[in-house]
Amino acid sequence: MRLDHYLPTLKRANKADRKPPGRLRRILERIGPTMASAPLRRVIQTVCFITFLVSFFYICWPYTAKPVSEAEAPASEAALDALLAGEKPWPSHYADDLAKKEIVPADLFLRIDPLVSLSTAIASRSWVYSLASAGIILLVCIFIPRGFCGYLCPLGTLIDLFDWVVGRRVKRFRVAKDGWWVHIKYYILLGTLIAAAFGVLISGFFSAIPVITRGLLFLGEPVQTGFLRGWHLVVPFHLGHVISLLLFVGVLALGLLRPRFWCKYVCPSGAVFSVANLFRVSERKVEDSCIKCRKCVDICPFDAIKPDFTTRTTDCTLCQTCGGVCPTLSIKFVDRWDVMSLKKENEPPTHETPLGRRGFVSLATGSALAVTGGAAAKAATNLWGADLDNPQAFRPVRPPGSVPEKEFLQMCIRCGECFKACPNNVLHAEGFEQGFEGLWTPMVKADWAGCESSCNACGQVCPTGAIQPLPLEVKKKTRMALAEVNLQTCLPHAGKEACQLCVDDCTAAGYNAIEFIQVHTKTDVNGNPVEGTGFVAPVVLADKCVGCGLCQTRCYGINVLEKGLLKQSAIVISAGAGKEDRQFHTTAA
Amino acid sequence: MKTTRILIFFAAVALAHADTIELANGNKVEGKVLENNAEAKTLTVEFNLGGTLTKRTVPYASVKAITVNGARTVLAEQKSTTLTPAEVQALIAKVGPTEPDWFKSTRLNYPKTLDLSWPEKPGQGWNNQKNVGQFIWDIINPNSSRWQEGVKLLHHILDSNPDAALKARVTKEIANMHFRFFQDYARAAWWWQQAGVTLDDQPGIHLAECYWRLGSKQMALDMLGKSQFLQLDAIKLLGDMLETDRAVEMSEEYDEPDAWQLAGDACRLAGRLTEARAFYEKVINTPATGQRAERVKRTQGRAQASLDALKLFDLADVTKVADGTYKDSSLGYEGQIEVSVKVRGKKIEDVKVTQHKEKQYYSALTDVPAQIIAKQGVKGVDATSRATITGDAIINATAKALAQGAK
Repeated sequence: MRLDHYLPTLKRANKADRKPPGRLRRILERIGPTMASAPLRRVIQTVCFITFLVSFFYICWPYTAKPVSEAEAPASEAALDALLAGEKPWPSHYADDLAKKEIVPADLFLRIDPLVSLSTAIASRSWVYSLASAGIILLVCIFIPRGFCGYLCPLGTLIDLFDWVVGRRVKRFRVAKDGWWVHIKYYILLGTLIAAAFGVLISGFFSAIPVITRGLLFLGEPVQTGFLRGWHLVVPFHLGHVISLLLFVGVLALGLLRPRFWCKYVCPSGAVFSVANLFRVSERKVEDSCIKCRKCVDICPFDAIKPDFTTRTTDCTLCQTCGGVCPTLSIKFVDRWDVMSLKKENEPPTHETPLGRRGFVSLATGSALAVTGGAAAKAATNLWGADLDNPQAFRPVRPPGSVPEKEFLQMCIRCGECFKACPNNVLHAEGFEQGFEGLWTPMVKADWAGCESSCNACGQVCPTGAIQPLPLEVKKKTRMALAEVNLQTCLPHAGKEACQLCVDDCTAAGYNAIEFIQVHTKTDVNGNPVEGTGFVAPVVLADKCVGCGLCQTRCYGINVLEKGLLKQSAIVISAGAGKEDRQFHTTAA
Repeated sequence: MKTTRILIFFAAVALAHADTIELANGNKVEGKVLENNAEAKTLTVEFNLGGTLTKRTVPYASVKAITVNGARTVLAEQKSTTLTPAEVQALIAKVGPTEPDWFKSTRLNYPKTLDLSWPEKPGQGWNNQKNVGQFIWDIINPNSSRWQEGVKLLHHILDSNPDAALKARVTKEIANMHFRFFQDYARAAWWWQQAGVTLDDQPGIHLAECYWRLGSKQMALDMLGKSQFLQLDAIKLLGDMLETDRAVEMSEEYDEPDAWQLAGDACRLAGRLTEARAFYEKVINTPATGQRAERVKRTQGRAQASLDALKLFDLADVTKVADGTYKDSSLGYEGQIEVSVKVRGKKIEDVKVTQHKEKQYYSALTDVPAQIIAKQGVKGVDATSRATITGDAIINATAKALAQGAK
């Protein structure tokens, strides 16, 4: 079995036989040595990176949706009767638009990041459906060990780009090849899994795809919104955003230490693949024709080649760049058990021992830190967490279809994909309102915008099922909160002036969950009402309200911001027992 | 290329089979028009309900237009037929006593605390959970979703053997509801006739209006002519019937703000805009003093709104606007929307939204200005569907901006 796809060098023994390189190769060489030696890998990386960007900036950009006024084709007598009776058909343009654009799942890369599904499954003790995709990718990676990191991971490609643009020009921060840091990723993986076992999900802080998704969300999304829709629609930043951005910038900045420093030494998602590499069936091997020129060692982006030119199998991504630079074609990518004319090991000596005293100490220290870290995360959520048992504690309104709050905090990976897909940014990243536990989870900010009746995007793009993918038919009836009118401040209720913004909006959205009541009617001497006096005021029908928050958006936008009549919206949605429909099925598909 | 053409051909064939029926209620339905019966004024349409075919006969009245084989036909608007008084009476006698089709399926829904004996004098304090009149006033009237329940409640009271006074009151209120809520003139007229309403009673004018709406203006005029003293509402009815001169004449007899306001409306409806403007201004310029100050103030509010609308829409004419760029704003979904209108040589050259805070606007921000330029005015411009608030704000702001430059 040979898996070679690299482009071998054109070295010939006799100088006279040497042909000038072809046009294609000249182009590849101009781009760079890694492109010339393993173009297929770079092409796959490019395709994956572009797919990721397209799914983030195009598929998860809801504003291509336009309401249609096409003729309806009713599917039942009841639907026909409703149309004939003048009931407006329920709009579905946002849901349709996403379904139409989703040629690949919008959350494809989040699903195949194995740590995402693994840690959420452990934390919530449930079968997360994306475990299946993670399983498939791990299976693939038995054939192409750590291929995810070398070929697919958009964060890895971004780091490569960063190195190409910045990293290779800034040498002052470079560090030695070896150091105490080389195994950090395993300890971070261990720590996040221990925390997950305690029911605390912190893997989203470190795992690859959530890191890049959040990075693009807090950097790219505002720019996209600002330029395409207007800067007044950019969601204001808070401390939570800053921390996420610092993490993202930090990940890139690690590239100043060494290329792909993050991927090699820190990334816990990569560590999952390194561990899975124990079961690899293929690997890089070196034949005895090796002339020890060190070209492979120099070009390897993952430091996966030992001083004796054999392979550190836990790090090799099978990118095959080394194969392309080898002047003697001594490198082959074959099955693990291939022994044909291999080079002798430990020559020159690697000075690596299986487990020395120092190694043991670092293993012990690292493991101890991982256990402490995992336990500390648990302790932190106890001391400074959501405090779910306390009815007075802050309870954010979650997206429609969210699982119950306890499980939600255990399943939400904090990737931010739902914010991106949400029209008008109804969903905002939580800061520290629920302490450390709710950081970056999605919460509805109805002062900013209300949930669109025709949209079900958040559940569709959620990679972990923290927000269930509800069909629009179900979503439109799923309660996320309940609106309540403040009788003291509501303009007509308080007898100040006529206002029916909330009722108009609720009716236009099709919920018809706010009705009128006549208030402050004056009576004549006989006690009969005087025509034209008083106001009609809003009354929320609790059995019809789904808590979309459109009413609050309008009241806040006009009565608070525009007219300055109120300090806060007079109609406010809130979550809590009896106000929301949140279900958790452990067997959810 | 060839395959594309074949595909287009098949698509065209497939489309040709599905006709589009645009309903008067705004919905559009796909179906196949089997029969267009001009005599009975009905369409017979076959609907494909997910495989099963269903035929329905739809009256012209509930259809706006049909598109058959790609050709759109607007169904002839129902001409207001003229009936003889005898025919109107026959119609009332036939339809009036029947139940509306929604009546059976409407549930009886009222608070158990309601006092169904509905005493004439409501007594001290306002309690919409006890007094029937106050319940109707506070809860039934403002909510169209409860109107049918309101009629049901009144019939429930009527069925409970009320005394003569209560029976008369309930009967009148049933008529009133048919009139106000459903514009069901035949039933309203029947119930008012049952209550023996004449022009001297409060709803008498409305009964006359029913006669006119049902097809006999003569009957309405006869009824009005019989009375020596006409209530204020008669001005409105005369205006609506386009008896504008009589409406104006009557308002002069009354000589008070409410009458002028109604006369203004009558003139506006008849297209006599200068007179309408004069009436509205007369209302606004009346000093609001004395016992009726509150009422006068309310009427003045209405007059001001009518005058503004008149100036903005009826009197708006770009050919009377001086060259220049005008800016004005109007309240949209999230806040003020500012529009800049450029007029040159009696033409609207450009309409631009210069400032807005909208989140959800689809194409309203570009679509509505384009419509205004195409139609050279704000009349007949539709707000983009699902973005009506934004669209209306652009229309209003443009009208206000144009009004600035009106000579």
